[in-house]
Amino acid sequence: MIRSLVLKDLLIEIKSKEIISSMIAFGISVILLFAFSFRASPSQVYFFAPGLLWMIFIFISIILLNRIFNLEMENKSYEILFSSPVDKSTIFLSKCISSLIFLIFSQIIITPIFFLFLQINFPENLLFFLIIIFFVDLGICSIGSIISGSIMKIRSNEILLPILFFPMITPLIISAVKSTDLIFNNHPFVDWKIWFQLILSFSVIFLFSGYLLYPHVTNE
Amino acid sequence: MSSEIKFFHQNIYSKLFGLLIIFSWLILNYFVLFVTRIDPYQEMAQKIFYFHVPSAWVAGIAYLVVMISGINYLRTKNNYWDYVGYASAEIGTIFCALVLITGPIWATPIWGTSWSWEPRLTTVLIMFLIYLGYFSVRNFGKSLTTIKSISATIGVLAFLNVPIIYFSVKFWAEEVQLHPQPEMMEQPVDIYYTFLFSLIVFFMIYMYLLNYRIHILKIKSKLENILEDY
Amino acid sequence: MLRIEKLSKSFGQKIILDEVNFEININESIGLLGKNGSGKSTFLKILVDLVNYQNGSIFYNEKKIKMETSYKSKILYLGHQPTFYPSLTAKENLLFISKIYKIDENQIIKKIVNSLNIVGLSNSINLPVSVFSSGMLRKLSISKAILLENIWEILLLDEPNDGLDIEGQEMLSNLILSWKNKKSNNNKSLLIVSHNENWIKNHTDQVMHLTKGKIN
Repeated sequence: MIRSLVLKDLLIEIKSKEIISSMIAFGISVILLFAFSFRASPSQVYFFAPGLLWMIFIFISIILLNRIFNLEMENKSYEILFSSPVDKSTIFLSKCISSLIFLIFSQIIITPIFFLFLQINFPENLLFFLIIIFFVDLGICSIGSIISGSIMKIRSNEILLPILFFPMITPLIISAVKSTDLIFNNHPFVDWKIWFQLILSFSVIFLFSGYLLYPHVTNE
Repeated sequence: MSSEIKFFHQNIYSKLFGLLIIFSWLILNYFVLFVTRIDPYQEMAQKIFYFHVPSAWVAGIAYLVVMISGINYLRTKNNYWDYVGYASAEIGTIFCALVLITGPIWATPIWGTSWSWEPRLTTVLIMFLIYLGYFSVRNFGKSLTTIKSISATIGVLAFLNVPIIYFSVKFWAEEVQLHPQPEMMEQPVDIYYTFLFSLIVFFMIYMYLLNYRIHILKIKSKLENILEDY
Repeated sequence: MLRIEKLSKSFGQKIILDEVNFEININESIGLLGKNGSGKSTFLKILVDLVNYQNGSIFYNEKKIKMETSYKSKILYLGHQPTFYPSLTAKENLLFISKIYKIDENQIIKKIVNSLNIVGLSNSINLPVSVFSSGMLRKLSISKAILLENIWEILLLDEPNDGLDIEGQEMLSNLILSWKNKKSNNNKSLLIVSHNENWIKNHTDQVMHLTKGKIN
């Protein structure tokens, strides 16, 4: 069931190319602005690169989360889903997965450009780096989907989403930046284990609470 | 109008409760200023602890109440739980603001800096920001059921976030572990009992304000309904 | 089959449904008449979990319903504004619907084409729904009911002939007639909401009125 829901989101995106193209365009413009506003030496850039990288990911995920539930608002198509024999928690999970796919896809394109433009090297521990990105993305998508899924019926929810989303993800971003920083500096797993645990617990808690809460939020 | 609305101040119990709070507040201030001993290191600055810590506790309790009533609202869709949650969120945010004001007042002479990324203070700040978002959701619609469900959800998510925020800030700025960790049981009797008394007074203020706000919200929704009929 | 007891719904102070009792039996078709804003559409939406109700209970085959998926697969709602994903084509929309209703995947494309043929949209199978006119959307919505024919036991129609041309209206009449009379392998009940009294009297066994929050 989840598979058909996710495939539907992907099919809509393949046809309209709205979400991913705007995420990538926005991400690259922000990288450019960063590159121009701090004309610093690579060693200095290295120092604040983890923070910059996550700021960009947060900005593009705002675009993503604004759009992902608005797919259902066009022509009120959410009525198809909500009146169908699909569990509402399943709808929430499918939105998490679709937004995770979109986010990862645009990160695959944006991240190399980030390293290229800011003239810094890829981290040696690429696997660790990818693991951290994956689990932080999971956290972003789970809390993002529950917030954006609950405010989808409010007018001008585009303004509301960042106001609610940014403070909620502060702990996640702290952990993401810290662990990315440690991985960039080739620290072993034990050094950033605690951050990984925080990221993991954030993702699990909000995935689970979203799963439980979402069916109750959507009713009028 | 068919049903007569009885206003909060017309209720004898709330009147008495209000008077009790004013009376205890005066006693509390007397104790804090003149009875408790003066800390040899922090001197008068330490006195703010009798207001700073209880405010933080009450803010925590208030946000816990927001979460509980949020869960109950989502389960039952009963407007009563929405009023409780909304009222408690407002009061919790006011007490958060008090924590954020009294903290730097104390920190300026003691730490020599007004703001430090101390985990508890930072957690309170982030909660404060989350609740500013909560109130902007509230302002996007008057009494729509959607708004109520969304606010309830945010209340639940916000409280679940508290431990994660606390620990992440704690590990993030490990050098900023300046926050005093007083063992209450080891404190001298005068400090200990005054602190307990202050907790009770703050909690009474919370209860009073909560009842008052719930009452106001009920009247407000009645009024909106009357206006809708015209 | 479907029984509603003391169902209440209000938006703020505005009472939409006031302790409504209602029952629809197997193979029965009921028409529900009411003025604009009387709560007909809200009543249908409550039955398919699009709107919450405050008090009361819904029974399906004498079992109390809490909007379980097993119940929701038996009841199909075609709203007043047909809802589809605008960027997907008619075929893709119906394919998606067939998946979420878990109908037999065997020869599914053939079934979809067939149901689009019946409503007269055979030329628009691969057109995105965003270019459809309101009459075409209505027909697409009806084809959804044909596609899921073997699934639903109760069909809720909200102003089903709105925006349809003469041919479309005839097609709809024939369909309703066939659903009413068909000795199919599952039971079919219809609940049709409209403000067109003559039309509804010709198409249903029984006509009820929704006025001031009561059905009688």
